[in-house]
Amino acid sequence: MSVTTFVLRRLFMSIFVLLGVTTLTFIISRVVVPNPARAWIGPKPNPDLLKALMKKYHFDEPLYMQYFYYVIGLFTGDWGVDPYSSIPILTEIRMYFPVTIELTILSSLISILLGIPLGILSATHRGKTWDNAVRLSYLISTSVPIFIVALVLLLLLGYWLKIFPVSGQLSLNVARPPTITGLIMVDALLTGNLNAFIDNLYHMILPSFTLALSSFGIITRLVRSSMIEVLEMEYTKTAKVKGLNKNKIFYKHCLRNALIPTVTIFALLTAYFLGGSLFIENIFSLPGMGRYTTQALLMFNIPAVMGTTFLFALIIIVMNFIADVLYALLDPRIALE
Amino acid sequence: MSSKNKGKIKISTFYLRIVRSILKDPLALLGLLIVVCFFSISILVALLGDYILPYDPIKMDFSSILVPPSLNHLFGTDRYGRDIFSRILAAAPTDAFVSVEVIILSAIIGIVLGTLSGFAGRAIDEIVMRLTDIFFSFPSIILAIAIAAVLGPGVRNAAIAITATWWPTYVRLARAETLRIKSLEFVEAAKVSNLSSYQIVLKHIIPNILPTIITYATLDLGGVILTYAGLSYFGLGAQPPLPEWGSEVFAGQDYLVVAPWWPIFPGLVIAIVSIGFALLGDGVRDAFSKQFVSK
Amino acid sequence: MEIVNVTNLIKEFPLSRGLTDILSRKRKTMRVLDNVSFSVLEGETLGLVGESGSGKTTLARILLGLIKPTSGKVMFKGEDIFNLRRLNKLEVHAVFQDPDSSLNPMMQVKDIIAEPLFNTKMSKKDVDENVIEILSKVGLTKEIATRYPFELSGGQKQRVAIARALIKKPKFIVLDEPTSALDVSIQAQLLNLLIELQGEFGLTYFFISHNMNVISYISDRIAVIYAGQLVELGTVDELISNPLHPYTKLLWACVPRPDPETKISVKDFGEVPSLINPPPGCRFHPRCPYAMEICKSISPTLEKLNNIHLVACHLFSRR
Repeated sequence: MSVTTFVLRRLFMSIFVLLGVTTLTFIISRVVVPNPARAWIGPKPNPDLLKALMKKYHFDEPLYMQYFYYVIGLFTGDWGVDPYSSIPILTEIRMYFPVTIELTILSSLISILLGIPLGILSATHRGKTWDNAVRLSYLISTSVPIFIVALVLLLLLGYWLKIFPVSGQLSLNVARPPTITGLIMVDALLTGNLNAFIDNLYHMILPSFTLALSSFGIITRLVRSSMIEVLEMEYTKTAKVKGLNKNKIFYKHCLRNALIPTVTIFALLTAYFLGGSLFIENIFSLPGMGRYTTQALLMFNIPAVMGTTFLFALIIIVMNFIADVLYALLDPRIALE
Repeated sequence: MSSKNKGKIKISTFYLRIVRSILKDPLALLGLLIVVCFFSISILVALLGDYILPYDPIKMDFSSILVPPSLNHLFGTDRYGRDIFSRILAAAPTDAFVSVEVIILSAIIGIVLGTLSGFAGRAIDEIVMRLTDIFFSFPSIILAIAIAAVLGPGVRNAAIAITATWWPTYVRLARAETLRIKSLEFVEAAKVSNLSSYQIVLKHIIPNILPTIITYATLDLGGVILTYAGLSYFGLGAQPPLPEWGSEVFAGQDYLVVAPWWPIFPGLVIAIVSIGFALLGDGVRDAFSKQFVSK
Repeated sequence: MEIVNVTNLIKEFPLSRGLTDILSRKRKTMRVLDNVSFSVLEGETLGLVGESGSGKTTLARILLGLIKPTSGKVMFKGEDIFNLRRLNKLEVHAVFQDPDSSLNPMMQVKDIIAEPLFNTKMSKKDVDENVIEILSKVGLTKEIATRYPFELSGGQKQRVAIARALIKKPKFIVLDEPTSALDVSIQAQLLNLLIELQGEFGLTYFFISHNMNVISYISDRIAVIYAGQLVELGTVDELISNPLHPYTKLLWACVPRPDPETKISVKDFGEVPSLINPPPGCRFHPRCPYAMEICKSISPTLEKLNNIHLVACHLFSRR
């Protein structure tokens, strides 16, 4: 199978899965609130208004037509309206999303910086003390609930040692830079406001570190196993026999081949980060998607919950697709299977 | 007469070797100890209830609000004067019950859909696999929380919500195992012997995939407990005033500075149980791979 | 009398295609069996010999009705097995190569052996009696009935597999390398058992092997398969005394001899060609010491030299 065929097939599958996701979110949201218009308008509805609303949102039509309008809406930017604030869901998401992007990117960086060296250390010291220590650390990393890690770090580094701020994005005395992209760090750099950049980074470190701490194990485990596999392969041994410099073998042959599989787990990692943001953003009072979702949840704001759930699934499907294509390009053998 | 015993000998020698390998691995042994303690305590509390708890986990006592940990109150008290240690113990059976329930349901769904997928031809296989893809596209904790929220809070609904996100893994596992068994010659022989596909699945496939699924499922209980803790953290588990590990942490986190014991101790208990399952799981996986290598 | 008749059997497996192939509607296939025709006579043992990858097992699976051929017919006692497969299957059974994989590890020997009787309306008591009887026929004791496969030796396992194949008194047995996983001494015991049972039950065998010694010991006639095509077919004596096809000669030359100095293997003379892109003309010509111009373009057909010998080679073609 050629790479083009592979990519087209994955694309087709991704679109199919995406449609499946919309079906699932539609079913879940319509099961709870068969007639959202009635719920929004309150206990004593004005019949004319209700009728108009129902017509406007197609609630008077059969279910499959409602699904049709729902899907069309999702792809044309109409994700419904927040019944409490009357603001379109997509507009709200745009307000909350940048914080989560910052958090995810920082966490990715930290977990790569933490995960890859530990994985290599573990693989090259297989069976020895270092290896056991690393394995224990990633077991703990993936099995302690993230909210515990957050609370313990917050208590230790935030409240007791006072090394990091305990909540929010910026200190009270630092003005928020004008919104261009919504990402404070980027906006600060664009407007030359280095002070705000550093202050925001300072605020984001502890939450990102927490998130990274409970997910670096995924990277470490994968790097460890693929590194061990590469080290045991014939050509690595051949290279040694040929008398190539040990460091050269390591960087040229092993590292490159061992790191290729890590590309595939970025979707999984993103899923972890997005799931974790639900807890982190609440504990550190960050106005991001996770906090928006949980607030919507507590208020039984179903359109918002389903909007964010769909968005999260969309992100992961896109990430998965990109990872597959990247992997096929880096390691063409996979496409041949 | 000895037919039953012979079967047991086979299973037991295999598991005996695994157990022996775990006994040699101190970390796995620690994990085993934690897991056994967790289930024994859960069963004891469920059976004997109030008789063995040091304090009533629900009754408020305003004479002892936010008491720090001491010999009287091992883990301190909360803002209603309730003993946190008693509340943690009282909540254990729910976690044990939910995890077992979710795993059994998921394994049943997995075996039914997985064998169907592996045995019934390409079209059905494709449909079932894409169905699992759809569920894998959601961050599982978010889908579970969304479903639990939609169904309404409560232990039963939380279990349903977690099952809804948990089954696809078991379908994949059962399917992979089915494909492996299907290629073995005794399945071909059964076809020549005129057995129907249904009979082959019942007689040959399921008995041979069960050991793998049961082993995986047992070690997977920790994952469910972790997810359930997440759900109950957001108040989607048992409802107050009933105790729940996750909701204890949530209720206590506002008192993090004033009374750190309130959120931290329940959190540590979740962490310890979860780590216990992970250590045991790692040990078992190790023992299994050693078994296969030595063959 | 013919019990099985195979005519013009072709089996192709589809290969995955690239985008350009899909757009140009080109089908890519691998032809594993190419125009195979032969018949099996009632009461005989027809041996099929060839290297691994030559299509032996595929042919066995078709004869057992496990997979359908792309084209061609398989007749069992004059009826197409793919029309009447349910009915006719009752008279066909098989012994497979690997006793570890052909016996379900979770089942007791008595249940394994009784499996062919599972969908008959035989009472449990009759089934048990049948199992005990067949156990003694294959040289196993009653005590083995309640054991599990892992408690048996390789030879015992293969005897269990033979018992399973025989319990329903079939007429035709396909044996796919039944002894290749066993030690040489046990191999001989098992071959003798098979010959004994053949006489007692009036069985017809289709015996597959890559081992020339085994195949010439048990067979009445031998068919030689190379890259999915039958290249030679004849009685054992004829094929031993007068092998004609260069490939058959090669197979004989490579039979292990007591003298270790002259140990040569078929593999030394090249590999079986890729079935995706088989060489044009005779599929053996790239390895053939006698290859002529015609061999590179025209594929020879299996021609009858006399009543007991057929060969597919331009060296002996009358045209």
